[in-house]
Formats: sequence, C-alpha cells, structure tokens
Amino acid sequence: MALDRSKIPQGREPDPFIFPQWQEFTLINGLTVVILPDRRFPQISYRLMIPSGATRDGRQSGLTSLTSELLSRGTKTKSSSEIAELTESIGGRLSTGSQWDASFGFISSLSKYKEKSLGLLAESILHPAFNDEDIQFLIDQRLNNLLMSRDSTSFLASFAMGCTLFPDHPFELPINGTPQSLKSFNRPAILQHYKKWIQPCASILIVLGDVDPDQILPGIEASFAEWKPMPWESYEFPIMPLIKKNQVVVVDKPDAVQSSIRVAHHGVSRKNPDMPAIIVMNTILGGYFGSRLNMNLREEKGFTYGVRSVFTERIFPGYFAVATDVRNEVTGDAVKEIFHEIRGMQKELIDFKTLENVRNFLVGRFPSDFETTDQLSQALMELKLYGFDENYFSRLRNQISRVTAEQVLDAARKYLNPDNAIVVVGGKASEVAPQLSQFGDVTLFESELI
Amino acid sequence: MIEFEQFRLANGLNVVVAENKKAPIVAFDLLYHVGSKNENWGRTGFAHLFEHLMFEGSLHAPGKLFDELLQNVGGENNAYTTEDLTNYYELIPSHEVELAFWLESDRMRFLNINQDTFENQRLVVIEERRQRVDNQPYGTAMEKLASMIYDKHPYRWPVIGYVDHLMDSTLDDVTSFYQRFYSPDNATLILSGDISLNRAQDLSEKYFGEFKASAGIKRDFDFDQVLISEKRDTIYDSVQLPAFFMGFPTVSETHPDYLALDLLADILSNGKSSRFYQDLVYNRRLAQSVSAFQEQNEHPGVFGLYGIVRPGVDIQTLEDFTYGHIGKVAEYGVTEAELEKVKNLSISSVINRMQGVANIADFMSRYAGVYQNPGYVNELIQKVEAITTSDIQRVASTWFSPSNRAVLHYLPKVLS
Repeated sequence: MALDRSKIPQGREPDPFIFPQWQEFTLINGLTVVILPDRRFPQISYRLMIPSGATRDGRQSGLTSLTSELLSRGTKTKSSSEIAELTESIGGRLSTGSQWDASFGFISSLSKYKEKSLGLLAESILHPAFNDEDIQFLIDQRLNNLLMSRDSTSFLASFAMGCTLFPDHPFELPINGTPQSLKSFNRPAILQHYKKWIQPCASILIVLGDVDPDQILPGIEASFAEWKPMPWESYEFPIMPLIKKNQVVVVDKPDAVQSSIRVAHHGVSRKNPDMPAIIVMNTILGGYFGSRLNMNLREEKGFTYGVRSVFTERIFPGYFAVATDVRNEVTGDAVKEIFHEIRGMQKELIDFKTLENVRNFLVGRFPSDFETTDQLSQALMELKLYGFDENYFSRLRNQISRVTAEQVLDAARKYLNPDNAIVVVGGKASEVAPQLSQFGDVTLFESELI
Repeated sequence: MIEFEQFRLANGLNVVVAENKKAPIVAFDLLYHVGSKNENWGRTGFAHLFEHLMFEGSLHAPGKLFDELLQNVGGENNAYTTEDLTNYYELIPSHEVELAFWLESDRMRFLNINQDTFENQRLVVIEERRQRVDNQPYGTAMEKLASMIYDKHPYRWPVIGYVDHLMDSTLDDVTSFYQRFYSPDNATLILSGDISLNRAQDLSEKYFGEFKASAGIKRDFDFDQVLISEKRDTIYDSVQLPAFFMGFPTVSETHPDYLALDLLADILSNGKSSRFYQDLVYNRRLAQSVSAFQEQNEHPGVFGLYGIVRPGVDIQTLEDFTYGHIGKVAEYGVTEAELEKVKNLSISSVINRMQGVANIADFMSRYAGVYQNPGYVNELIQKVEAITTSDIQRVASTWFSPSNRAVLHYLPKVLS
C-alpha cells in the first residue's frame, strides 16, 4: 500500500539544548585565556581579540585596520616573507585585522606544530616590525583595491550610505580607509596607534583544537608575559548627526545593469535591552528567506535575487538598512515596496502563525549555531566584547521564544524610522534618478574620497 | 577520519550515513547527478533554473510550505548547481529529521509547478546572473574563457546560463527535465549527524522506497579535441585595472595527474609565501593579485591563471612573467620543503571540511553522488602525501604549452 503522504510528520520530543561549558584563566597582564579542547582532528587554532576597533580611528579613517593588518607583516627579527613561509610551512594561516569594535589576530596550524604557531602569533602581536617597505606595500594594495571598487555598485552605495548617515562621525568612512587618509599614514603614526590601542587588558585569547589545557597554558603564559598592560585611554563616542527628513542619494555608474539599493537610518546598540524583540521584528521584515521583503520583492515580483534587512551589531548604535540589487527599470518600484514593508511592520500586530514560525526558526537554530568549537569561540568573543555574562545566550534563546506580537509592534514603532531615512542607490543615474524623486530630494553623490 | 555506512534501496537510491552524536542536529544532503553539462545548447542555465523551481511547491507540500515547515523547526535549507551535480540540503534538529524525508521525497516525485512560479523564478535567476556576472567587474571572464577552450563540450557555457536561453525555456522543458533526471537511481542521500543507521534505513525505505527507478539515465555529450593552436581575445569592459585570464584544458578529478596539478596551483599561488605572491605581487610589484587554480570537474577541466595588473604595469609583462613560472617548475622542479608546505596546507583544508555535520555531508556528497565513493574523503590525505616533487615537475611540463591555451585580456573601456 502506498504511503499516505498527506500528513506532515510530527517531530519527536526535542533533546534538551545544553550550552557548551568552558574554563577561563586570566594572566597577570589582564589577558583572558579560554581553552576549548576538541581532539577529533590534528589541528589547532589561536584567536586573539583586542577590544579596540576601527571606531578608534578618529579622523584617520583606516589607521586601526592598517595597524592591525601590519601585525602579520613581519617582526623585529623576521621579515614579512619569512613570517609567511614559517606559517604556511606548518599548514597554517596567520591573519590580523580590525572590525568596528575590536581587532583580531588568528593563527591555525596542524597540532603537531602547536608551539610554533603560538610563538608566531605572540611574536607578531608583541614585536611587530612596521617597516616602511611593508607599510607602503599595504597602502598601495588598499589604494588599488579602492580604485577597483569604483566599478562595484554595491561598494558605491555602501560608501555613500556611510557618508550620508554619519557625516563627521567615526562610522562615516569605510574601515579600510580612503585614498586621502591612506596616503597620509606613516610609521610614527602607526607605531603610536599600536602602542595606544593594542593592549592585553580585557583582551581574550581562545585556543581551539587538539590540545591538553594543562600542557599548553604555561606556554601561553610565557609567550604573552612580556605584553605589558597600560590603562586604556577613555573613549567618548560622538553624538550621531540627525536625519531630519527623507533624502535620496544616487551614485552614478553609467553602464550599470543593476541598481544597488540601501534604504537606511540610524540603528541601535548591540547592548540594547529590547534586542530579543528587535531580532524577531527584523527577521520577519527582512532577516530570513521567508521574510516579508524577500517574499514580496523576490518571490512575488521577481525584482531581485535577494533582499535583506539588518541592524548592525556594534557597541555604539550603527545603522538599520535594507539592501538589495534590482534591475534598472524597477528601481523606483523596489524602493516603494521596501517602504511599504517597513511601514507595514509599524501598522498592526503580526499574526500569530508568523510570530510562532519566526520564533521557532530562531530558537531552533541554536544547536546548529553552537555546534563546532569554532562557532563557540565566536560566541565567546561576543560575550567578552559586549560584557555579557555566561548565561547570555541561554537567556536570549528563552527571551526570543517568549516575544509577543505586541513587543514586535513596539519594536517596529520605536526602532524603524521610515520618515527619517535615506535612500541610496548605486547605479545608472540617468535611468534611475527620475524614478526616485517620489521619495525625497535627489542628490547626485560626488566625493573626492572615491 | 569520517566513519560511515552505505546502503542502496531496490530502486537505486544510494544512502550514506555518517552518525555523529555531538550535537542534536542532522545534515540531510540529497544530490542529483545532473548539472549544466546535461543541458543542450539553446537551454543553457536550465539545470540551475530547475533547482530554483524545486522550492516552489510539490503535491503534498504546495506553495511555500517547503520553506515554511523547515523554518518552523529551526531548519536551514538551500541548494546549489554545478556543471556536474545539483545538491539540495537541509540542516535540521535531529528530532525533526522525518520532516526532511517527507519534504525531499515529495519533491523528488510530485513536483508541482505552474506558469506563474516558473516565470517568477526565471526573473529571479536573471537577476542572479546580473548580480553575479553582468554587473561585476571581470564578471564575464570565466564564461568567455570556457567558450574559447571548449568547442563542443557543455562545459563551454556557464552554469547560470544565457539570458536569451532562459527566456526561451518553457514549462514543458521543466516536465521533461524532471522526468529524465529526478529519479531515485540518479540520486544519493547523505545523512550526517545525530541519526542512527537503523533509523536512516527505516525512514529512507518509508519515504523513498516506493518510487520506481528510471529506465536508465541517458547522458549524451560530445567530448572535445584538445586545442591545437592558441586563441586570444581582448575585451573592453567597465574595469579600472587591466587583467589577463589564461586557461589550459587539462584533466578530470579522477585523472592520476589531478592532485599534482592541484598542488602545482598551490605552489604557485596559495598563500603569501607562494611563488606568485612573493615574486609578482610583493617583490616585482607587477600584480595587484595573481592566482592559479585547477578546476575540479567530472570531465576534463581547466587549469587557470589570472592576474590583475598594478597601475602603470604593462599587461603583457605580467602575463609573460606569470606563465614563465610554469616553465620554471617544468625546467627546475620544486623543492621538497615547498612541496611539504603545500601538502600541509592541503591537509589542513581537508581537515577543515570535516568539521561540523553540514561540512561533512557536503564534503562527502560529491564523491558519493558522482563516483559512488564517499570513503574517498578518508583517502585524500594519503593521496596528497604520496605526490612527489617529480610528479609536480612532470605535470608542469606535460599540460602547458602556448599552443594549448586560451588567453583573454580585459582592458578598461575608453568612454567616449
């Protein structure tokens, strides 16, 4: 007899979700060390997070990320080529860099070389060379990358979005800097920035992989012992400039066949206490495949391959943005639908079925989001960076599972702001600008910075 | 080392189970052995368009139910199409794994597409092409290079297809493609994670067991002659920096020279200590970036070189220096230390692909679904270890000559 396929199979009882546990050690200089053994594979990695990121650039856009990138480009006794050779010989990768809130160092290798890789990371962080040739080389690489980015509508739209939302503010310009700022950096400026912002205190080193904690800890202490703590310089985040009415900004790329659209306004801090409701609200709007924006713009209208909405996750409030790429002739229609969906979230309570679906989606993902030690280390860094306690993720999971339709509506009304938003489009101005005047005064974006 | 069991249903469905109880989740990959090389000229892009349609409803799970039900249990799902295969996958809490069996079996046998959803997804795919190819600097380079290298073989067109072919396709094409390629004997199911062999057998039999095998999958394509003289072309595009793209027809991934060619590409361009980076990017400052790769294909693929020149550098100079590195390996070979280094990098990347149940399923799926040999993932490290410096030198002198290549130059177009 054929199987009756009309019945949807019912799941079994879920296994309880237990958050992985970990052990922490703090060294005398304030560096926290977490070791997560996973002996299944002969591999090891070290991740270092230093809680000072590109917001520390001040008006020198790109200085933090250039300084941290240079950490993996040679030490006082080893050239950048030697460092690359030594790392890659042990099956390793060494990288250093910055995001807005933190800077990072990472090295991995086969576990039989665990002391070597630890040594290479520590030497790179503690004794960087910052030699002039490598500084100039990296600056040139970045200048050329920026030159190439002029042909990406997506880069152009994001660049203009930063400039329009955050004039004279740390979030105005990209983490990697601009041609103007990059050309002004030299060794003394980089060295000064390094001394001030690469500190062990409140930094965290996570060791993952085929390792015995008792065996590796003394080596870690010895490798980082020379890293002297200095008090962190206090840091005041500038007040956000106001957006008083809707504005439209077009960045012209005359031969574009698609428009990169950003509908954006100021966002919230990662530490916002309403975060569970904000997460549920944003997921419904544009945070997953079944979101209202994606169902409308992709699955009904066929305007785009995909559309997402996002609240940046930064210590200081960043932005909320809807981002998508659509063909030239539907650019205005797509923006209209985006506003329609944003306003729709503020109008009425969402139906229970949608709410339940999204809560289940978010809660059900937790086991797969914390499956590997790699994922766990990312989560740990988040806890440290934002000052959350060790139960934060279990609590967040419970809070998300209880978010109500009223809380979603409140969050939409409080944190979505379609009347103080900007519309930025990178694309063929002659074709798309006339479609956009319905949303506000249209300005053609011009900047000597790109 | 990944431990696994394998069994086959009477209708030919191949099932691989790699049990792992570390987390209460299961990766469910259903791979069909069909890709863009099974298309015909005039319908390029169809295998990938069809993949999109598989999410648009089946008889018992109509409309958007496929996504909705999986989302409702915290499952993730997606799919991808290559020249050789189409892989559909779910990552799902283990207590809900039966739902994946129900949904995937329903769309294997009872797909239900109408004209509206067909036309909608065709538009979506065309936007995908614009986003990834037409609106990207150098975006058309790989498809143009392939069209120069292959004469008849379907690898000469891109997986995403050409817009006019997509527009010419019809709902009838959907039906015949579905009947031809979407049968249990053309599919492999890989289950990785918290599921036992017994449960996998029960559920596979329950949901897929009653489907009939096809009458045999007909696969027709024309194999090519090798290139007998160099082909060159110049494209004026919306780019700031000139770039060259060079391709040599080489081998399939089952050819004895495949891994040596792959390691040769690593010696040339994997990492900051590689020959290309040290010589062309860092020391001579000729290139902004430069890379070598060997394609991983079921039929003979391409060994590619490409480089973006630094401002002020002559593109021909970079092309000559880059190609010259292959000649150097052919003439002088590589050192033991150099080979040891890329072996370690290669082994590290194999290990990375074995972490997490979704990675494991994806890693095994290609070898299980195309070659019926999932255990190949466990042999790879040994095979890499066995490559010698003379293997590297031999492949560098065997597969490369100026008369066996296609070369494209991308130059900034001068706006009038």
